Amino acid sequence: MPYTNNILKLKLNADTKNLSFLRRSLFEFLSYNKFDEQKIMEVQLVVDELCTNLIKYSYQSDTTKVFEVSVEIIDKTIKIQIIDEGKPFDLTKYKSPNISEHIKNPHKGGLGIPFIKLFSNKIKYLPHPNDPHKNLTEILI
Amino acid sequence: MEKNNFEAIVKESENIVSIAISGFLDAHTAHILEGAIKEQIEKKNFNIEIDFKNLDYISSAGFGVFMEFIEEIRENAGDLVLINMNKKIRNLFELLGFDLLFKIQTLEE
Repeated sequence: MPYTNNILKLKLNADTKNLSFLRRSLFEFLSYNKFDEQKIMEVQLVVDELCTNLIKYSYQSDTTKVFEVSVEIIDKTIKIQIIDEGKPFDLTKYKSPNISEHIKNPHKGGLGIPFIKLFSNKIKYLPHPNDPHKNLTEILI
Repeated sequence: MEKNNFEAIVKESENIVSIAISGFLDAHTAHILEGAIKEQIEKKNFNIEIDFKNLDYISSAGFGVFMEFIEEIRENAGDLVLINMNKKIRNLFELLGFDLLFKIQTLEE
C-alpha cells in the first residue's frame, strides 16, 4: 500500500489510463480513514480533474513525464498536493465560466476547473519550495 | 495497474436507441461513449436513452459528452434521456444543476 495511516503518496506517468488507479488508491486510503462515500467521490473528482488538466495541457499527453500526488489527513481536513514539471498553469487565476453558463449554453469541455472549484475549500498554486522547475498545486477539502 | 473499465452497449429498436454504460466514465474513456452517440446521430436516430444502471463514476469529461450532443439532438425533435441513475451519481447531477438540463430517471434502490 502506498500510504501510512494519514498520508498517501503516488508518483505516476502522465497518462489518462492511470486515472482509474489513482481513484482506486484514493478510495482505499479515504475509506481506511473513515470518510463517507460522498466525500470520497468529491476528492476523487477534484484529483481526477486536476490530473486530467495536468496530463492534457501542462504535459500535452507526453506519457514519459511524471507527476506526484500526495494526500494528507489533518484532523478532518484533506490536503492534496500535486507536484509537476509541466507548463505552469495557475488555476486560481483562471477565470472559468461558472456551471450555470454551461447549462444555458451546453457545450463540450471547460467543466473540469468549475468542478475543482466547487468541491475545494482552498486552492493555492506555488513554485515548489525546493525546486524552481517544479509547480505545486495545493488544495484543501 | 487496474484495468480501465468502461463499456457502452448499444441496442437499436424501432423508436429508441438504448446505450447501456458501465464502469468508469472519465477522460480516458469518454471517447467511447462520444463515438457511440455520434454514430446514432449520423444514422438520424435522435431518441436516445442512456442506461446508467452499471455506471460507477463520472467526471467532467463524461458530463461533457452529454453537453456536446444535447442541443443537436433536441433541435432534431429528439431527446437524450438518462435512466436508471444511482443516488450517488444523481446527487452529483443535482449539485451541479444538470438535472435542470436533462430528463433523468432514478434507479429504485
